[in-house]
Amino acid sequence: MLRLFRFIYIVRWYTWVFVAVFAAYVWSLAAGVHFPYDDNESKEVYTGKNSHQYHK
Amino acid sequence: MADGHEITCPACSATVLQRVAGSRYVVCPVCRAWLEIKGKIVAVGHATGRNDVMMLKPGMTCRYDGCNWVVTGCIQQLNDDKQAEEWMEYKLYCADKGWYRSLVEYRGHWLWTGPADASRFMTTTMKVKGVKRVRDREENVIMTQYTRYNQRTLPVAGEFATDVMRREGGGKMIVEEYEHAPLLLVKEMKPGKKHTWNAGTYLKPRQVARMFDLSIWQLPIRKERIPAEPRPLQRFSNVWLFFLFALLAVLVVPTFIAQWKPEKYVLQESYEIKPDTGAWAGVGYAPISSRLFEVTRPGALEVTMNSSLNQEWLEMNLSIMNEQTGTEYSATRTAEYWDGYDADGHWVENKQEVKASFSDVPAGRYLMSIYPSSGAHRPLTVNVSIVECALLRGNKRWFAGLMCCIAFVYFLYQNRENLAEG
Repeated sequence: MLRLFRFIYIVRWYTWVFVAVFAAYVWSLAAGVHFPYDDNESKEVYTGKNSHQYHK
Repeated sequence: MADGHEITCPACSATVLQRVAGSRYVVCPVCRAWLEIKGKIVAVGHATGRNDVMMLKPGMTCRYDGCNWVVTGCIQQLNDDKQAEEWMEYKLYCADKGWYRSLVEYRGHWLWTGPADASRFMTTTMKVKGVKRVRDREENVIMTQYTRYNQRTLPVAGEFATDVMRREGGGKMIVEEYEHAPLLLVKEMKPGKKHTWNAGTYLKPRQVARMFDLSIWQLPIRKERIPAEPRPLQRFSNVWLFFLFALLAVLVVPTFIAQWKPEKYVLQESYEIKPDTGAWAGVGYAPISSRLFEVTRPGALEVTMNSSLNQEWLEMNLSIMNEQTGTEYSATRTAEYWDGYDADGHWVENKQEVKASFSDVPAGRYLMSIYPSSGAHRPLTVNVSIVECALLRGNKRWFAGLMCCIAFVYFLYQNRENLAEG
């Protein structure tokens, strides 16, 4: 644990910025989050069974 | 404080310029007498250092580290254990802050050093495999010892605040040098006295030439590598290296993600759409409704729509709805194809394939609807494919761009002083 803290202390802050951005990138690919924005234009949630009938 | 006080050499009666009021020892530039200024001026020895290899002359000025410096003196230093090893040390003085610093030239390599507080360094328990190491708390690095020797100092020219001659004659001075290129640490040990520390950094000859407004060809050529010289990859700082690796990883990571979570087509269908002359006349085309399809894993859903167009446009309002929850994902995309001739020749605007990506779509049964409209007024074929766990390739260029922006900001931060001076 002490070694981990020492490592965190030794590595410079700007390296952590790169690490954070890279981690965000890997997460976005793994979770399937479109960056920088989602294409979804709808906030609608249609309720009720066979709700797709709404569009027909 | 720097001034231009003139003194007379008691040995040859030459006029000697004393630039710094606090200087207590001066070398006469004419007879090279070692003069002590203590109320009256007395010649107490002779400057025996070589002045034929002196690159920087007393009085030369430069700007470095946010200060204006003047070269006040030059001394020749020797490794008493290896007589062939010698180097020149130039003393620089900053009048604004009253600081002394040293610029050392060794076989064409330049090192900028200055006094450092001993509490900054941690020497205990740092001897690994017989090699002594020192932890520099301020720079957050571990430095490795690469040499230890007896040092001898010979004055060459200029003026000094301390008696470097007596230091030489008054006993041994053992010096240990540590490096973590481009950083350097010098530990001076005098018998019966407290150790003194000097921390420094490697300067490229180009930097030194620029500082003193000299041509790089006036400076000695680097003869061999020295431990404090950054190795080829170290010329990039660690953060630059990390940036390059991160950029490379940004390009490579999608391959691994694709192995771990492969893409899968959940719908691949082709639809014939005809102009609607009935109730949908206002829209132009009847809506498309797909069969229900199953998304088996949560993740991004990518919809690709393709149509063969010729001098036409086709707007598609896409809607994907989860049958169970009623959550709708929608997007509007316009496919088009135009070409023609102008003064530059043939031009083409071809966007017959359009895509929409939806983030973090949960697993479930979905229905896709497309509401098309177009000025084509002819039957069109729309090919639709939907991929689950789509690899969002667009993210790659955004993150690569973000990495480059951060690297650029870091570059500006690192060079803020040079840029401010510029």
